[in-house]
Amino acid sequence: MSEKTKSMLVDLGANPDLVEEFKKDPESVMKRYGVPADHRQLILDGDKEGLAKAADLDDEHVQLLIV
Amino acid sequence: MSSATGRLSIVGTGIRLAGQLTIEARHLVAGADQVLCVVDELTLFHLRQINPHSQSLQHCYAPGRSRDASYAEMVERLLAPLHEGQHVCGVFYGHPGVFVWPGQEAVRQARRAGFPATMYPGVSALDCLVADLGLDPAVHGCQSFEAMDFLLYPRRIDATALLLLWQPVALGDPQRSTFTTDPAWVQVLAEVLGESYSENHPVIVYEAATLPLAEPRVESVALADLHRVEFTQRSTLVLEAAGPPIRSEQRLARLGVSPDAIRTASFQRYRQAGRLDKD
Repeated sequence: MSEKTKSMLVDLGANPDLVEEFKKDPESVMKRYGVPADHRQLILDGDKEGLAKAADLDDEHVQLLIV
Repeated sequence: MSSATGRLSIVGTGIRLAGQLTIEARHLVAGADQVLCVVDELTLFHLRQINPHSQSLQHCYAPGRSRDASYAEMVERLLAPLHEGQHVCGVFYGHPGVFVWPGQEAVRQARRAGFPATMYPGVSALDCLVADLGLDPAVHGCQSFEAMDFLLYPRRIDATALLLLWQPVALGDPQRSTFTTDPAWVQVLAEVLGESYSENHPVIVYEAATLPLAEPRVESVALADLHRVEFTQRSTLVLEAAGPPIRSEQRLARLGVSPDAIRTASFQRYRQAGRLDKD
């Protein structure tokens, strides 16, 4: 996953106002961060699984702690 | 580069990316000599924005390797730099002490070895669950068990209180290595729960959102159909109370208090009215 997409996701996670802005106009927020086209499409399609896979967040890549 | 005496700080990132890292955790990550993390790639990216030297311990997990061996290596990695006088910050997903064996164990071992060690609370899946489902543990009370532990070590449960069962994904994986659920185990769990709840009692399969644009998973299924559901590592089972508890007149008499002298709290009135009626 590109650094630009990661930066936008981190900022979205930390800033609820940015989330609201994103909901109103996702294209403009993604353009501002320079999110590449393939990630833009995943995000616009709401493809959570695709996005998680692109970010190595799926269960194959992440082991959550289980006692 | 290092403080005179080694020091261990254990922090959590929260469940959702970036926003749930507390201010004190951020401060500790920024100032530590070594930041060792058990987190996903996106969270690691965020931590490296705060401290570029943050390193992942995810490699301690490996297919076929026992959890005990993975945890032992994590603890060893966290403790080794303390002997060189470094400030180590161990970073774990969620709350660093909730369902995180190496977080707690690292603090215990560091203290035994004479090093100052502190665990700082983080945002756990329970905190997200309370917010997402609107379930205040004060209203009905709250019982919380690891699902396989609950199944294999019988407990007395109270159907008038909330029941949370964590990590159902491990049901049917007695070695805790593959995280492949066996529906037959889930069915036995449902039968055990059926001793206290009706077969139609709703079970919520809950997963907190990890990405900022994602919604939590909130899937309700009848207890009798629980074995048909697919779980992930993030799944938790939530059984709301089957009904309110009954006040004990016997205990009031024992206390010498008249029923009229007791003021019913808001949460008790809400509980008595029933959550579904109220909503």
